Formats: sequence, structure tokens, C-alpha cells
Amino acid sequence: MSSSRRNPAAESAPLPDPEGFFGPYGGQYVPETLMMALRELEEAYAKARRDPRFQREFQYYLAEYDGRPTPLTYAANLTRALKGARLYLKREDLNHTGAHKINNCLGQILLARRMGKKRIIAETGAGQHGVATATVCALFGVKCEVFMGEEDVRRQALNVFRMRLLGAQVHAVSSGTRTLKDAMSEAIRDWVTNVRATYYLIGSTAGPHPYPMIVRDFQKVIGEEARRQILRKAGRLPDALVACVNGGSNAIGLFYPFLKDRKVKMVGVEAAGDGVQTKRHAATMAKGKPGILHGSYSYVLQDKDGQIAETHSISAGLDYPGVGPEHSWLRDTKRAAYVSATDQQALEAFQALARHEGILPALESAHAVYQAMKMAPRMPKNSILIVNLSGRGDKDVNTVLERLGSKLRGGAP
Amino acid sequence: MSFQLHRMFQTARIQRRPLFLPYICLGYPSYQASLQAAKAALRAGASALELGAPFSDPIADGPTLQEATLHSLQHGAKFADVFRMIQDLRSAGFRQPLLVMSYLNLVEQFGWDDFAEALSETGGDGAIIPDLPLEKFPLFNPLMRAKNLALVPFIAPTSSAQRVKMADAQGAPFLYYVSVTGVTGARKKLPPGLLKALRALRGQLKTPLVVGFGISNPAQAAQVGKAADGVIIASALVKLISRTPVSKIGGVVGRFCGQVVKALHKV
Repeated sequence: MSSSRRNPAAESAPLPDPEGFFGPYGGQYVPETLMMALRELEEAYAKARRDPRFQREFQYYLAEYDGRPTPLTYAANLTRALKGARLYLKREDLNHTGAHKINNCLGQILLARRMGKKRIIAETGAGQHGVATATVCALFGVKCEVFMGEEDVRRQALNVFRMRLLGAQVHAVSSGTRTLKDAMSEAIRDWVTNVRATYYLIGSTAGPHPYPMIVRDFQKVIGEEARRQILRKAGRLPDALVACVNGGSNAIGLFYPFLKDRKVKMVGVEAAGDGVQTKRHAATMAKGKPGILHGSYSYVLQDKDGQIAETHSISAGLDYPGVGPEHSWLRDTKRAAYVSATDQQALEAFQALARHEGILPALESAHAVYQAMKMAPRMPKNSILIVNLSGRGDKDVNTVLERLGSKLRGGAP
Repeated sequence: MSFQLHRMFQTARIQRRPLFLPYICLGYPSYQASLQAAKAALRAGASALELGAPFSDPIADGPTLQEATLHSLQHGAKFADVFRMIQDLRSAGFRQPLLVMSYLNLVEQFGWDDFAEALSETGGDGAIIPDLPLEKFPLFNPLMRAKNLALVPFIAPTSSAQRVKMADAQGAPFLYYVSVTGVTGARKKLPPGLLKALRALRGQLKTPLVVGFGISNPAQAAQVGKAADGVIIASALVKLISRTPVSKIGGVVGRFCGQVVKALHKV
């Protein structure tokens, strides 16, 4: 958090650079009207970051409201079944509201308050970030408006209702593909219009600088805790980290505090939908190329002309056609590897974790669990693998029911 | 050629006659129809044209342009159509400056060098890119200027004095002033204080000032024209096209543009 805690190597080349770039990725490709707002945010955040009072306040809410630290659970049964690496689950599913999203929302709402902003807007896909934003806005009594694609409003009716219960106004976005990317475009349009009094609370490591940095900083508590916890439990660092990646906030939150631990392997898992060889997937790193979407330069799923592609994933939280710029940089520098898991594979992992450990993971996180199940048997028995369980799966039970339905039978695993 | 743009604005200032730059959405409602609209606008006396390349995620645009660009894309519009249109307009004998309006990703994917090359080959005059920040002008402005092409900077009501200076220093033929904090779209009324803001701004600038966003009719254009070197009309024109049967687009666009040109002459 505070600069004194960063290690000296990180000080030598902190990323992003002052202009918001991770190598070539990131930046501020936004209409001129918003440049003032980004400068204002940069300045406010630079001050907050150095201010011990701000950090104390953030830590207070993480502990007392969110319920941190979250446990690092040893998945003994799954480990035994896989006959390989020891599997640990970073339990972000146990956060208030059921996913890691709230970490960032708490940080940003405190920032918005310092900036004197009276109105918060946010975009949401599956609704998890929308719910987390509505939650912190209720807590601090701030007006909240959430943009959500019409298609997602239909698919995630329960989350829409949760947001309304929390006092938020939900705008169904009917432009474009009517999903997350269009919700984000619409949020940006609202921000351009109401820029002076409105704070745009972005939920992922996407968007223009300084958002990818801010979201990372508010999410890195995941990795900081995991690092401390594994050192305490196992007396050493893990061999590998696995997390699902779309915009990439939960993954960067886990990865970031381990970046200087060169021996710790990092694997991000994207949504392969029906398979990356089909047209129905959201595997930006596998199939995209660098381009500009929503204010930053990063890998983007697009056609030859540069039109943004439509995506598919069983998990509504993984269907953004872009990825955070820091992930693009980690990929190019080979510090992290990016793979993908299909809908089918995520469903397999969803069931396996339920049966073996009594935990229903979010379908997003199930992509990471699948990859861990694939890697663990190929790793030595005493090696350690940490999986980020970014959210809980209750919200996905309906989707899983639709897919598995009658095929599912009870009984021993 | 950007020198033509420069000269045009110089003359306009001497004659105290604000210029009119209508926007045409490429491929809306079809390539041919948008070509007819462009020709009609030029024939009616438009000083220059903004040829809008449709993009899937136009974050600076309101509903009218969003719908139009989406329609164009769904009907197969390609980025390269901008060059085809410039060529078609040039071979039909039109001499007015033609500017490409595009979001950055389209240019980026086409490649900046190829873009400048194609623009210059076909007879285009420059580009307007709403999500290209001033900070990146040093990267791309030189390669545009090397081909005598203009890259037009934006300034907004929220731009700091320092950024206004930065925009003014780019050597562009004009600056695109966004009249409102907001997205494109026709509005009933001009934003309060616009003329005052324009007069104050113009006093500080050496580059001519063109105003866009929210100007919907000849009367508003004339009002803005009192304090600017030019006006842009986009959404109102696109809306008009959306309500007009294809066979009549040329006539309707020509009439509308003619009215704006006339209104600006009286300024």
C-alpha cells in the first residue's frame, strides 16, 4: 500500500510510468473532455496513496466491513484426488457481497469522497461489480447509477434486483451488443456529460490511466495476504499462482505482490467459451491483438478493420473483449502465461470443487480451478499451487442448472 | 492538402464568413446514399466535409450517431470505404477539403503510415480523431504533415489553459471545439455561455476555431458563427437522413446544407 512497503527493485522501475504505460500498453486514449477528470483523479490518488490516514481508513473498512483477511484454504481432498501439487484456495468468495470486487469499490468510494464527488456511476456485466458499487454507495450514502447491457439485465435479473434493493438506479443499455462493453461505453458517455460532479468507479483493470493502476492497488491486498499466509503455513513461496482473467482485476490483485518473486509462476485463465477455434469465446490474449478500447491500448478481440468483436462465455463476468494493460505487458514480457478454459471445462471444475471441497465457485473462478486441476497432477507432490477463488457460485446456480439439469445425480464423487 | 485548409480559414477570417463543415456517416444508410449526401452537401456550398468512419464502440457519440454507425457496420461498411469515397468525390470534380473522422483503433489497425499514404494518394486533407490525446500528437502529427495532411486537435470546455496552448501549438488548420461537456447529438438549445466562452478562447488562439456538438439548425449555426471560424453539424444531419427515403437524400441534404450556408453568410 504505502510506498515504504514497496521493495527497492520495484522502486527502480515502477509501472505504470508517469504517463500511464506498462511498456506500450495503457495510456489515456479518451476524448479531450475527460482529460481534466483523469488529471484530477491522478492527483487525488497520488495524494491518497501517500496519506497514511487514507490507507488506515481503507484497511479499516477492509477488515471491519468486508471481512478481510480472507482465508487461504488448503484443499486437502482435491489435492489428494489430483495426486500432485498442494492446492490452496484464496477465498475471495468469502468477501462481503461474495466476490473480490468489493475490495476495489471500498478503495474507490473513499477516494471519491475525498474528491467531493456526489454521484457515482459504474458499469457491470454479470452484476457483481454493480452490486459491490451499490453496496459501498449505500454504506456511504452516495447516489449510485449502474450501467448494464440490456442482455445482461435479462440474464442477471437477481443482481439487478439486489442493486435496486441497495438503492442504486440501474440503466439498461440497448446499444451495440448490449453487454458489458456497451455498458462501459455508456458509462463513459455519461461521465463525459456529467464529468464535473460524477465519479466513474471502474471495476476492472481496464480503462484509461490511472484506473488500471488504482484498481490493481486496491486489489493487491489479495496477493499480499496470500503471500503472508503461505509463508506462515508452508514456510515458503508457492510454485505457481492461477487466476481467471478477463479485465483482470482479481488476477492482478493476486499476481502483483509476487512479481518480484521470479520463481513463482503465474498463469491467467481466459474464457474459451465453445473453444478458441470457434467464434464463440472471450480469449483476448489467445486470439486478440493490440488495439485501443475504452481509453487504453492493450490486447483486444477485434476484426481486421479494428471493429470490436462479440464474445461468448458461460460466465457473464468473463465476456469483455479486452484485457487490462498490465496483463498485456506481463504476457509480452513472459512474466505470466495466459491460457484458456472452455465453458465445459469450467463446468467440470465447478462440480469438482463442489463435490470435493464443499465450495461452489463462481463460474469465472471455475476457469481458474480447471487450470489448477490440469496443472497440479503434473507438479511434484510437495509443490504449492494457489488458486484465486475470486467469487462464490451462488449467482451461477441457475446457469449451471440450465446446462447440467437432469444430467446431474447425487452420490459420492 | 492541409495548406488548402489553412488558406480557406485565413480567407474566411478576412471575409468574416464562418465556414460550414457537415459530417457524413459513411455507409449510412448505404455507401451510395452516403456518397449522394456528400455530393449534395458539397454542391450546396459546404466548405469541407467530415467523412465519418463507423466504429463499433463510439464513446464520444450520442444515440443518433451510434445508431447510424451500427447500421453502417451491419450493412458491411469497411474502413477502406473512406478512401473510396474520397476518390469518388475527387473524380466527380469536388475540390473542397475532405477530412476523415475516425476513432483511433481503426487508424491504428490500418497502420498510421498506410493511413497517411492512402489519404494523400486519394486526395484527402486530414483526420479528426476524438480519442487521440494531444499528448500523442508528436508521434503522429509529423508523419501526417510530411504528406501535407492535417491532424485536428480537440479542445473542450474542461480543457486547462495549458492544454489549450498545447492544442494551439500543433500547427493545425483549425481546432475542434466541443461545445458541451457531453456526447454528440442535436440539442434544442445552445449551451449557455457558449458564445462568451468562444470569444474568450478565440482571443488567446492563433489557430482558427471550429465548433461542433449540439448544433442542430441554421439559426444555431449562425449564432455560433458569430464567435467562431466554422461550425460542424453531425447528428442533426444524420437524423435528417434517417427520416428521408433513400431516393430523396441528396435533395434533402442539399437543401439543409444550403440553408446553413446561407445563414452563415448573414453572420
